[in-house]
Amino acid sequence: MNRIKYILLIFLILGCKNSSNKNSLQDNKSWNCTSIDNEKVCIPLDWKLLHQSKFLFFSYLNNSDTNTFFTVLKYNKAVSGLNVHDYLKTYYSALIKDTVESFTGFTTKELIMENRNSYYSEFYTRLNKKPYITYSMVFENDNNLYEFTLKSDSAHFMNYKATFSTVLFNYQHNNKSIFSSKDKIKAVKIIDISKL
Amino acid sequence: MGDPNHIIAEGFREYFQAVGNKIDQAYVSVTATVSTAAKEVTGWFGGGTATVSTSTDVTNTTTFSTNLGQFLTPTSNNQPGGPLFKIVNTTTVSQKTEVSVSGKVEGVDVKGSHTTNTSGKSVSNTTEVMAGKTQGKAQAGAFISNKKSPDKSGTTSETTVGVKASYKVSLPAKISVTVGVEAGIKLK
Repeated sequence: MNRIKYILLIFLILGCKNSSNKNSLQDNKSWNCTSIDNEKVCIPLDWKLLHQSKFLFFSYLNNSDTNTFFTVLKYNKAVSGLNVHDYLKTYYSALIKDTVESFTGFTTKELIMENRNSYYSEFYTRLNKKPYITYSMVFENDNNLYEFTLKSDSAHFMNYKATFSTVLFNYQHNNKSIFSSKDKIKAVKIIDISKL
Repeated sequence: MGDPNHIIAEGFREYFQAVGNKIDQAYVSVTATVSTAAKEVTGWFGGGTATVSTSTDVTNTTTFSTNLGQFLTPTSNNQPGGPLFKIVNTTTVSQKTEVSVSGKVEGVDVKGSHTTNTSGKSVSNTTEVMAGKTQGKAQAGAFISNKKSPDKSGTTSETTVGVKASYKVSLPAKISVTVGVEAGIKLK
């Protein structure tokens, strides 16, 4: 009887191990995972990580267009005094004042989920007659305000949007994922950030 | 708030172009501008009036039976899942906007309207322009109507051209009924 329990226990452990690997990019050779303090971010191996001090994380994408990038921003709310609405308001103000890159439109939605509310935006801009889309997810976690941003040219939005969500779902804070693809969205609220 | 003449002129130029091009624009495209403070603005142009109004009774929250993974899954038509706020000369368009005009252009009565209805899941646009006679209780004229709305396979666009007439009938007890006739062809 004990032997049967022992075998079942081994199967259970193997099952758990397989399950965790399935959702993790840690061991995937096509992905590059980097730890910064208590954060862990995984990006495709062919993206060009840039070491800098302005953002928590910055990487160019797998192309020669330096206007496209992926970045993670993290602000301590107590130190910066920022909240999500202030942040989005500032964001919009910066886009509208940009005289080099024209801001042509946006859509912002507040995603109301069980454990947190997040703000997902798509910003449409045009630079040198080339259209770009910027995907942005702003949220608060552990007294910090985060923004994940991926800017790509419009022609390749499909691949990059899918990658953006994969990066998001594999991002870890204190060894725990912040988002899961299975997170249930209870409601979506349309936000006009020009009126915040 | 900008010059209403400019707004309407620009708006209608774009509508006619849109009809001509069978709506090749990917998103909601309204050039009317609405200030955040103004709910309704009326201005004179030529011999008529132009009204831009915003509706504030739109419910922005919609229930969703999806998860974050599905929400972030890209769709092939590159359509945002909700209304796109288009930036036109540093102004934005609200989620529900109606633009209507009436007046005379070279002696011909012209009436037009553009309505954008949005919800968390869908956006539909209807543009209608009438040119013709308005006499007493009767109205008749040619019209161009364009409606576009997203569905599962992408944005559908429907353009209708034809003739529309209506007559207002007054009945006892101050009840009035408008009888409308519409004939046209749908171009898809």
